[in-house]
Amino acid sequence: MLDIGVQTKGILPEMTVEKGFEMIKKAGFNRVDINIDTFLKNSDLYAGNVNKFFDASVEELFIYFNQYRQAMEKFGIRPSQCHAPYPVKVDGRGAQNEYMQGTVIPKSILVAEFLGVPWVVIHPFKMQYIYGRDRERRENIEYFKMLVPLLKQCKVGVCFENLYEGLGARIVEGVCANPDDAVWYIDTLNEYAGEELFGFCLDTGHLQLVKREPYEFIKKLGSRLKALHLHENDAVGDLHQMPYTFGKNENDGQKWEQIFKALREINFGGTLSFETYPCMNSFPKAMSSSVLEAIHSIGEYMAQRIENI
Amino acid sequence: MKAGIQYVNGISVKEAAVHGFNDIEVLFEDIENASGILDEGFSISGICVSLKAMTDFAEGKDLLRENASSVFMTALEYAVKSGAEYIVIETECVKSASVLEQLIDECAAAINKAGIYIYVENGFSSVDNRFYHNDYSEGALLTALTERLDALCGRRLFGICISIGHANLLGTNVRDLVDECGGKLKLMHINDNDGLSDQHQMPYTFTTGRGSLSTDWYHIIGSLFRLNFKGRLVFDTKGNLSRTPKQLHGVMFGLMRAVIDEWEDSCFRTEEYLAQPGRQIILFGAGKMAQNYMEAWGLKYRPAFLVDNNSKIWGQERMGLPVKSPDEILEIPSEKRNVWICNQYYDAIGLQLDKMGVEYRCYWDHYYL
Repeated sequence: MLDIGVQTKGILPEMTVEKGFEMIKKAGFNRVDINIDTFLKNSDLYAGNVNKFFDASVEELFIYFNQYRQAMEKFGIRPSQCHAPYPVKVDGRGAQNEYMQGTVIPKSILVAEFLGVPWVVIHPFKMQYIYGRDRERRENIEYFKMLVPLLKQCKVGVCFENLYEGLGARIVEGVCANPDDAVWYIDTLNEYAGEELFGFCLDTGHLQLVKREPYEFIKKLGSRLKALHLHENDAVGDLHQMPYTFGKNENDGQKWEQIFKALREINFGGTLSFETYPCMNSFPKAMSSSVLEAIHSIGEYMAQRIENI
Repeated sequence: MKAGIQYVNGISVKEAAVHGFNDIEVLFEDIENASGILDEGFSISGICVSLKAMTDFAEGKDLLRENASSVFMTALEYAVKSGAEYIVIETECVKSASVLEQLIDECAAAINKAGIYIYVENGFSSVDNRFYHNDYSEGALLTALTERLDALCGRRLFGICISIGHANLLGTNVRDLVDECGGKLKLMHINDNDGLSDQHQMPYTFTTGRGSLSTDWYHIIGSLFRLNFKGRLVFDTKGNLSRTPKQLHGVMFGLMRAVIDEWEDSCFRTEEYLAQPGRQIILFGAGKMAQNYMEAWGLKYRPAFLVDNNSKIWGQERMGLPVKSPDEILEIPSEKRNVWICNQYYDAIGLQLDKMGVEYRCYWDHYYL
């Protein structure tokens, strides 16, 4: 059966590392998506407020994250993926972009290696609504090619993710929202690397926001699909909530059966990883364990469906 | 706290019972399934009847159908036969209260004889998929209506059922609605939606951004607590149970049970946990949350002192209480202290107290704001 994981955001670093991993394990998870992005938040980056967390030396970062490594070992949890801080590029923020691309992302990759993370999810640059898709592709390829030597050294892969953007009050497709765009990036970069260093992380909630059929998307990705961000929303906002908690009929909401079928057909061997940390905020804090257990049970059901469909 | 679920075709009542939901509410259109529920040893708490199904809209007004009282009498007879405690009258998509008054007038003698409680649910009217207030949407109107219905029957059998989802569709301040209904409020239908469609979904999942609640759950539950609500909370989450694969119904029932446990433990039982004779109440935190505690509980359960990690305020007074170092907690023997975290950093302070070997409870101020 496929492994089931959950993101650490919403649990760590708010709780102590040991207590957090203990709660994750008690809920039944044996995998985690380590949110390195919690240490340099996207809201701060968009606001231009860059904290000093990644100013620490690599050795200092290893000392900090050693508690994660020890706690995971203690509770028999392995990381399936991690999430690097984002956005990596904000238009007009030269110094910040340089810091993100030259310091934060490389250090995130080194931390991933230290923690035994196989895939780091890094958001590609979102530029198409300012400079057009061609320039977006050109600058992304240029940057991610630069990471190849480090990825080879660390034996860590990078996953791109299907993203959306906000245009006025509307949510619109962003980089890799189109499966053909996603496939082009992965294939172009892997061809350059000469090995499979790039894969894809499919975000099921983002699919809903830009009205993409999951079956077709997953089938096009095929073996390039390495990681998942499983969650659901109302198809209006990026709510990152528990599956099945929107709509009132069997056929409402995300088409999970399509996802199971496609994952089965591409022989997906990764982790069913839930990116549902807003559940930890929206449900009362004292319910955290119950909420995590419910999410894990949904994961078990999904794994069984994928196996037996 | 009395809690139940509303029956949805295809659910296993046994699975619901595993999670402590032994009382089942049944929709009138589903009563052919109700005998199965009783045969399995579970009880039917109530029957929900749709007023819309007994009403026509013609010539610009609601008119009671000819067979309306016969339909209602069937529901009433079934309620008596099945041992149900109440009937809910669903009022969605009916504009006028006069049709309900006419119906009850026609059935008054039978209602009086049956002695079954009848709860009028808050509703809305719907035109072109937009929702509007009707005669059943506001607390004052519902209260006055149920009093008139009591008078018609000559017995105090009528109460109010608040559907939180229905209130959300109208943008109602549910906290105020609870307050307005006061002692007439007998039943809560627990469900949630996006404010745009009547989804009857799981509470706590409709949010904006990254988890900011769109439904005012804490204040609603806090209002029920202040009202000393002794009625029933029923999850009428047919949307959730219809959407969710059958194999996951147990998971959803488990989550609903956890919601009830949370409301009970973090809100309704607070006083029980505070009222421990011979123990001094100590609040960890001397800020806004402690101030909230003092406003909500301070007169009846006055703390002996506050502790805080901010050494600059040790030796000072806040709200007339001395502020001390957390180490001072250890000066009070464990069997004589009742320590409460009154600060949003529950995890960090909890760890600090764990290390000190101090037992504690968390004070959840959002129920009392």
